[in-house]
Amino acid sequence: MDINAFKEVFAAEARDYLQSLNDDLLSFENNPADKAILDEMFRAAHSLKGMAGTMGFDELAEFTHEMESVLDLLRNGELQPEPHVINVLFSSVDTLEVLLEQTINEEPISSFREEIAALEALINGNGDSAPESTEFASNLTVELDEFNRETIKQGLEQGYNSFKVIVTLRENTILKSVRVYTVFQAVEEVGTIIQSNPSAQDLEDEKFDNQFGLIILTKESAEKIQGIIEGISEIAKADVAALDLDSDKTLSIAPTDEKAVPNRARLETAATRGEPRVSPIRTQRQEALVRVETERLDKLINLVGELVISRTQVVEMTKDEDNADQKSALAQLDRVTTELQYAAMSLRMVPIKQVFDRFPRMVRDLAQSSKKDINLEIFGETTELDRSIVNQIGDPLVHLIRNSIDHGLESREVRLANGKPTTGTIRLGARHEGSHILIEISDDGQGLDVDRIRDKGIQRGLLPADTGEITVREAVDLLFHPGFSTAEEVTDLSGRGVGLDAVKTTVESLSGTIDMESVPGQSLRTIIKLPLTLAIIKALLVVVDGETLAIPIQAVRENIQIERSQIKTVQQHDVILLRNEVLPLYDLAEVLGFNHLESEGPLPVIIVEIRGQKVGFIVEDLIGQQEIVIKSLSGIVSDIRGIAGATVLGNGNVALILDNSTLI
Amino acid sequence: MAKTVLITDDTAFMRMTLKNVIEKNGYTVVGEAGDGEEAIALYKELKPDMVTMDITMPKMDGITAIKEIMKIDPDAKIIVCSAMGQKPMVIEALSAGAKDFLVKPFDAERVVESLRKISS
Repeated sequence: MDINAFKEVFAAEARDYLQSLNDDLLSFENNPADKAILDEMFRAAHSLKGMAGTMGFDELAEFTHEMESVLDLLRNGELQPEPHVINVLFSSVDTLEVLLEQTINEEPISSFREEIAALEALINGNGDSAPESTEFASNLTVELDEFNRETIKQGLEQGYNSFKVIVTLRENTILKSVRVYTVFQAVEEVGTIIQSNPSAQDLEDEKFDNQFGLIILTKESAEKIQGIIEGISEIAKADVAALDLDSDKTLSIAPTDEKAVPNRARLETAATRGEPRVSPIRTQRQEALVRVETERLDKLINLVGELVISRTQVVEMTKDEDNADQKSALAQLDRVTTELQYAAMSLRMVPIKQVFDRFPRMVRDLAQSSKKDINLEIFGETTELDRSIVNQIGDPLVHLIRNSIDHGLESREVRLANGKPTTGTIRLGARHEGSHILIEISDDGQGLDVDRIRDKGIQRGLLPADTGEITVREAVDLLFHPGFSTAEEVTDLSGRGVGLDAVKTTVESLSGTIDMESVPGQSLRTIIKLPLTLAIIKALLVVVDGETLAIPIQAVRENIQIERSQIKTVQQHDVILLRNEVLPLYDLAEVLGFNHLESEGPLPVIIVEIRGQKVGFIVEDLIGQQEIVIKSLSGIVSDIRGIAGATVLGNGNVALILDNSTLI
Repeated sequence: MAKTVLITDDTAFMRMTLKNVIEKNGYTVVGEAGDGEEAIALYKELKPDMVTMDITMPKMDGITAIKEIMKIDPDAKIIVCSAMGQKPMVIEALSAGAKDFLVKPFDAERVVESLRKISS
């Protein structure tokens, strides 16, 4: 077969095996008692050997074979996982890596005599002798003993035929003894084997050349027996002749000596006492993954975005035409692009596990330094979300978990006094909800200390000095207020002056929302709601100074129309009164430095929520709601306050996307 | 109609080389299984004329799979595939009902001989 065609597949899979051998060795070094790891390593070496053999890469196959032998000795307990043994295995994997690359790249193969010697020393040092000599006595004849003669005589009387069968194996037959076993198996289906030459033991030990003889009793004809045996693989021929008890006193083939009653049971016993079976391994190797540079991925997603825009343009241009064929073709184009868009988006999705994975270790360390007993429960770590969100959500989560440990969970003594289990629990989880992902951090600590938060609020001038009881809701709002921090002393864990408002800002910059719920004395739960992807968002399109602008829809609360007369002034600032609420009012054109619009008629106003505060923006016109593909701005314009990016609209025009969190 | 074969091996490379040999010689590979469990499921689904069965596999090894398949279909024609040094397991597989065995590295002629002989 043309083996070269498979070289690439071979190389990829072989590298995988080497990688898993390496990983398994690392864990084996730490858990030498774990048989499952050994089995897995053995299996990897074994598979590698088979593959290398098939490719005709003999050096690789031989080396892997030596390694496999050592692993097998370890599995059998005949070799102990002492440090030097493990070191030899590690360096063997290294050697295999070199050997593999040299082989694949058709470079000259280095001599690995020393490495092989090291493996062999382990194998032989174990008392395992060199392969047994396969020489055997030849040219001997086996005599039919009295007992067997009697059996045959009785068989003949009962109508059986007795045959002398000489079976010749093909040259180069592999596993001759097993081949003999298949012959025995086949013959015993139709008759009884009275005697073999050489003996069953010698057949099993492969102490024979290419031929062996059988005396059998059967009701079948000689032709049938010959057909059955020759129907077995690797049998060159079977000569079947009737046995004449008077003249045939012996069973002769070219070689042979002993006589013995063949005993299949013996071969079967060998099956159970021989090399142990490899038990099924614990974990299946991971499906092969293709690694792609994120840059290429982004490019693909970007192009798909362009395609979506072009589609919108085409649909827009032809929407007034009345051509059924064209309409159905466009509908098809629409479907395919939408699916393509979702497929491309899914490439950006990664499991949140990447972020969650760092927390067990962090909580362990913090629990130790704060002398608290903490149990961290993680769920939903396979929930997927946009890669760029995953990259940014880590820090806010670190902050929240530190808060839980520092401010939330009480000391052992306090917990005990309050009738709580001494071990505090922090639960961290994620789940999908519609087109959003919810991340929840909860703890069973003391919850929010509403009174202390109020006092702090007063102290910071955030609340009037005479403020009485405040609700949990109000306390939460205070916590997210810029600069608010309740930590009485700055600890190592939190309270570095970075308050929860920083967390909120990050979440909002990801187009998300954050909220807290607390039962004072019992629990605190923080819920972060994030969009699944940042690449496509729903936006409200508005016009200011002739320019189209996009406002992310989740920030928009409502849009209203006001008359100029409704604008009031409070402390030299424009405000409007909306349902008894006083809202600051800005002219978006002014905020962005565009030309101010002078008009007489009613003014459209967009009510947007910025850091928990509703704000009104006067715009020139409203276009409507639309899904837009975000394109980030780069270079010199990458960091403009109030602008999150840009998008290309259906008509080909560019619209800037407002970043409501930094707009004012 | 061409005889159908189900290939079972945990390495994609081995499946590929076997498939290549098998299909070049006029048989149809109807399925490929990566472990014993998959082989059983595919056997039920595809009812192949023959099965090649690797021994050392994750989840369920070939010998267990052979036993299970023989329970489903006592006439199943299974060829057990082994590497050197697995003699006791090959014998176990044969006594479990495998009709023939192949030893890796595979020799194309041997593979074809085996398929031809057990299917006749």
